[in-house]
Amino acid sequence: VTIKIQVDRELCIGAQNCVRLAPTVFAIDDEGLAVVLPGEVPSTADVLAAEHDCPTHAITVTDGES
Amino acid sequence: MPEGGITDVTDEYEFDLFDPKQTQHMWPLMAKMRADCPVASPAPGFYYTSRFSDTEKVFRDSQLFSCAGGFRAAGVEIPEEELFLAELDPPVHTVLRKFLLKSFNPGMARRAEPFARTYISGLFDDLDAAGTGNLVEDMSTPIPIAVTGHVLGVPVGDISTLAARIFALLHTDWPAYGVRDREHPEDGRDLAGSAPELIAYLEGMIGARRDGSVISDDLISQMIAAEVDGTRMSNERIRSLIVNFLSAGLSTTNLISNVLYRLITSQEFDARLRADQDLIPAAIEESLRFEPPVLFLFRTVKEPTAISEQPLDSGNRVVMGIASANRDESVYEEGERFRINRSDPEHLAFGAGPHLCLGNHMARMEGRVVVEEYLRRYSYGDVRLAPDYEYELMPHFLEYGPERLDVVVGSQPR
Repeated sequence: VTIKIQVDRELCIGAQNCVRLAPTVFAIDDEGLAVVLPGEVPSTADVLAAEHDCPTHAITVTDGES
Repeated sequence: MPEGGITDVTDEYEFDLFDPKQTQHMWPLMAKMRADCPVASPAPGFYYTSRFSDTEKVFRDSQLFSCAGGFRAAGVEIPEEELFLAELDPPVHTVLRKFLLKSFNPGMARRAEPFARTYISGLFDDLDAAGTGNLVEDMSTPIPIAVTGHVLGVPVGDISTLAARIFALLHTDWPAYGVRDREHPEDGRDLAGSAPELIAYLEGMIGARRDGSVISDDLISQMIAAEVDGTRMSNERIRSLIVNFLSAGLSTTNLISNVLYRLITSQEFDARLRADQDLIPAAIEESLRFEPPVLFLFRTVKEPTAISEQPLDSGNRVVMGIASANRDESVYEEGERFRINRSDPEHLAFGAGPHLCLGNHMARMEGRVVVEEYLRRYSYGDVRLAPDYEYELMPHFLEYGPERLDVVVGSQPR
């Protein structure tokens, strides 16, 4: 299953919940905001947990292409 | 498997959360709680999370666990514009944090590093010239104030006065009670009444930027110019945030003191970092894990829930046991030992989630530069504890670091 992960940098407040839940998928950049790392997503569950746990709902996970 | 929790205070786990003689010396009790009672009740209505997973969860969840009440004494009301970030909930907190994150990020720490290095090097020069000193007073206290002050736009010449005034304010009753002296509340209320000289100084800085007599892109100017949620910030809000940033630097004071103490007293630690300076950041992380500058923080339960099978009611206070979580054996192998290990998961010294310490990059940078400059300048044994020195912790219930670090400096014959 391919999923698409997006971080809305206008909403992100650098809480880093996503980095704690899925450290191979998310990282914090020089501006203190979350970015999605390139590469395979090892666990969809971790990414969905990160989406759910984001205090500002800055993460969107959608199915497949585009 | 989680053990069955307790529903009430039991003598076994009872302790006074506001007594540093207890809170700073309860490592064995924390280990016992982690093993037998992960959410213990040290006092009526208070629940202490001793395990990493529970503590982290409470930190991350600002929906269920509110910051309101912060670290103020029960029943004390603080004007909304004087609340610290750590006491604010969404939506105000979210908007303010979003704005401040534009400044408080890894890029800011990188840009402030040259100033920090020059300033720290100058303090070591002064120490060398004097031959003796108290590193808590001479190094660890002014460094965070100077570096944060630099970012805010405070002239270097004003740093020592500013440091003294912040230090004095934190030693009044204001942090907990909102007045200078709780026995004489009419003598000075709120920030302006509790610290009139400090607030006059900050009002001067803000005023000079508002009226255009100082033109700068420093953080105070940015706070004045910013539209946060469609409105400008008041002077009250700006000066409270400044006090918030400067006083939060005192936790970095503990970090610097803890690391310096270890460098002075452990030849093994000194030799390890000297041999491989790339280990310095991991050594800073290990100090933060093993001896966190802030031992615990509070949240208030917003709706009935449970943690590790312990039911919690609305209004209960959760004590997030940072110090205990950081030694949780299920997360950190040999958690009760200081050992530099790059692959350990991140500790909770800076918290987690929406209130994750905004200054964490600054604190890490300051700690690293202090160690780098120390190693560059001295050999092991050049800085020694004063002959009559006795280690004592800062008498504060949730802070952890030495009250003084009296040293003599100079190469000794060997």
